[in-house]
Amino acid sequence: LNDLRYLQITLASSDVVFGLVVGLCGMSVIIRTFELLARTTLFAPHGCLSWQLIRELCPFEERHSFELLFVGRWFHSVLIMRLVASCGLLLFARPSLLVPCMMVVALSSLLLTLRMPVGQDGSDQMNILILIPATLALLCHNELAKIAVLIFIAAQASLAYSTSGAAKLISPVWRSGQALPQILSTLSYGNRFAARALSSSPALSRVACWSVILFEISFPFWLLAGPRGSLGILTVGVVFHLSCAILMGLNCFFWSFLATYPAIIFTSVYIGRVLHLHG
Amino acid sequence: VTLCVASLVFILTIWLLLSVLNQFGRSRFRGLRPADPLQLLPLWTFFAPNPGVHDYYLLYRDKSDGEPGTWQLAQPTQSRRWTSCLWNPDKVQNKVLSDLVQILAGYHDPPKDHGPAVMLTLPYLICLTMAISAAPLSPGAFRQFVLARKRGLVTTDELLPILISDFHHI
Repeated sequence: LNDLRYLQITLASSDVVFGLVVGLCGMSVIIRTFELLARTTLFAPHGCLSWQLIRELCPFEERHSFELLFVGRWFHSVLIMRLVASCGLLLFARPSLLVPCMMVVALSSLLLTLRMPVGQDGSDQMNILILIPATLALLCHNELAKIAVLIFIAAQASLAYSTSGAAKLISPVWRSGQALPQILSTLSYGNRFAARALSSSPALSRVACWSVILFEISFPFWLLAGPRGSLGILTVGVVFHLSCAILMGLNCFFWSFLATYPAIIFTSVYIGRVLHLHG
Repeated sequence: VTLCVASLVFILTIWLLLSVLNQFGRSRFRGLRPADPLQLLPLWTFFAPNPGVHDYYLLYRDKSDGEPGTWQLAQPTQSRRWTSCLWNPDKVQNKVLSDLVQILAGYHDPPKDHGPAVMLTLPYLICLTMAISAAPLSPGAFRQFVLARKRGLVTTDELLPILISDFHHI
């Protein structure tokens, strides 16, 4: 009876969590698409992302008809369709409306990967890891598919944090505390006040670097500590990404990674419950 | 559990396993890259192990009547604003420049000077396009660009050239 009741609660909550993940991811896609629309000159024939040039990085040697979508008005139309559809991710819950929007956003994300082999960042990557599985889950018309996708998204987010933490742990620049003041000293990802504060205090800088390393590398373990543990680490995560957005200008990262947090809480509760029932 | 859900679980499991393998460096699992044209396999090393501590600059100068002019900045065009935490469209162009430097660094025999071979590389052609579109070129004039790097806001490093072009007549 307990198992049955738990299954009912899980199925009901997975729907809400799934909606939150999709909505937050939609925010990231909306901002990113607006930013690309504000810089469409980059994609023009004289721009640095002109398709004539960028095609050299395309994985397909022979020409395809879909390349028509990569130039001129067609490309602008793709971006506008992506923008409209991504608003649908925030507005619609009914599958008949949400599924077409998800399909447009997921397909346009794949097209953008081909169109922009340079100039994309980790938030675009995380959006793809959310959007494609979520679209497939909606096409399955099954609540269990949504649960599988939520666990997948939580696992990918945990992988992202732990890999990034491990890469920092093996780096002498990070361990010595020099990395953050140096990164924050750049024009692209920097902040004058934060850079000065960290440069003037090596101890503070070392604490900041090690805090990032420990937060990232310990991330997956907190998920096994139950809902309180995962809520604690996710609160730290929100502060971390907010700081990255304010100090480094990583605005889309904030939304893309925040989108994984409902899935992480869900997975943490799910794992805890499964361990409890079978333990 | 329907066949659809079982297939989805299978796909997601394989996707996750390949994503984990991809974290162990592209050299060790080089075979995965060509099989992933849509870049579905992530690589999460954000600013590590070697964080990017340089800003990249694209400068150009024109030569008319045999005399080269002064260097002008083509990119970046402006500093990051405080609003960049909400709205940051300039990051695209900055990221393109830093990705181009990574592509240059990835060549087996990095082109150090402006020999003829480097002119056929994608980073060279993109930088030339950016330099040309930065400002109109007077009739009969030639344009040269330099891709350079410099440490950021606090230290006062000099610009260090990475790629220097010939003078081009458009």
